[in-house]
Amino acid sequence: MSVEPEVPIVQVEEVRENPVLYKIISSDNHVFTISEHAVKLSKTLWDLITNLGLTAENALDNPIPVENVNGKNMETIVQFCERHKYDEEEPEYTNYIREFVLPEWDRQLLSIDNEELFQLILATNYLDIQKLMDYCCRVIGDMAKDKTPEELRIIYGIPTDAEDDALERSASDSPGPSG
Amino acid sequence: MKFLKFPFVVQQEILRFLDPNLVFNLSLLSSKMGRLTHSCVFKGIKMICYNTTGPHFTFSVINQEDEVLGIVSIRPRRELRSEIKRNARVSGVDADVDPVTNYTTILLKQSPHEPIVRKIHDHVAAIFGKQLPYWISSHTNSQNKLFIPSYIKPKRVSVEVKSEEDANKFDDWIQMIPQPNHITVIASAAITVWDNPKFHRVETLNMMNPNATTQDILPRFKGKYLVLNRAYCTDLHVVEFLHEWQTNEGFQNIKLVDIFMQFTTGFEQARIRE
Repeated sequence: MSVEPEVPIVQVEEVRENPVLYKIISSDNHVFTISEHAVKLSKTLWDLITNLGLTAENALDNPIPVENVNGKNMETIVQFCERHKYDEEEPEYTNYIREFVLPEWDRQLLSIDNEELFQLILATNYLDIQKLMDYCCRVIGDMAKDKTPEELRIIYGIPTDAEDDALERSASDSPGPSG
Repeated sequence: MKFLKFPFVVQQEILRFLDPNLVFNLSLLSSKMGRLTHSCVFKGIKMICYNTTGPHFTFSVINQEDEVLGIVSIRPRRELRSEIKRNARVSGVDADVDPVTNYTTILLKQSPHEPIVRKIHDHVAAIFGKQLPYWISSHTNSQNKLFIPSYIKPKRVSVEVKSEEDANKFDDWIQMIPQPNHITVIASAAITVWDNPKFHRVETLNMMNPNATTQDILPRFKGKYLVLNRAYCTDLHVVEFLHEWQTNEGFQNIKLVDIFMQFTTGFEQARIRE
């Protein structure tokens, strides 16, 4: 499989340290290069690489299409994975991670608007990157600090029961695909 | 952000990063959120605390790091300290939420409070785990009687007993519940509960009762830790206890006995050292 990149390949500085590189193609056909250590942070991608039998010799000739993740999110994800590829394994978290403070570099990376963060979390969930998921959740959790219930409703976009009922009624009143 | 549009696994991940009071607040926002919080698993919590002091009820949790984290406080509506209040529904009960305090305060509109407190308890338990052990701490003020909920079977009990009526209520209750691990009693009234075997078998007993003597409880205690505050104790009691312990006749589980005496006169230390 060989796909011509439509945008310049993302060259993250740390990529050069590692001889084994993989190519990933986002849903909008942007091509990214990622090192072996970095790609291992994504369980989904690493399982795919293992199942496809990609090796150091053939990896760059066989880009991996990821249809559920667009170029913008993939760029963030590649940057994150390259940044954290040599991190020591985290101890297993307990349920409340009260002392865990987001590093400044990551806070900057995740300083994006709510809709972008929503899409990034969906991509992170699909690619199964636990560390990035934890960091995104920390950002979302921090939004809730010292907020009243009604402020939480606005931040997290939670409809009232009456709004939910109205939505359900309008969904059941609207004609189906054949109507 | 449309929180409810996330896959369930992501919603659960996000909720575990929130303090318990925020999870509780989110659960009040809609029936969907209530059901969602009920289906999440919060692994880091090891105990639910239920504290009553007079007409005030507080639920908190203790996490794996032994932090006590407040969830919700329930007070009579007359104590509203702010004009800002928000209506909420908790398990079908209308309540006002005072957002000024550190954690959610629900101001009850009507009496009696107990049925509403129970509903809130059921809601808290549904979120954080019905199987978790409980710590009940029940204190009275001058106007109120002791309130100990019959639907909670605690592992840890801290109760203040001020009247004979309270003492009878406590006695009935302690007989009804399974054996707790830890009992603390502050009793200013004369109580007879020491005859109850649950006091003898409890792992830790911390008692403050100036009307009691060490002989009421020490000879029958089978647990590990015993703290007697302001109890009446003589050197004869201590000598008997030490004799039985040294000769393996009793108290083989004991790891600590602490006796803080109300009066120290007439205590012969030399006799005890013998």
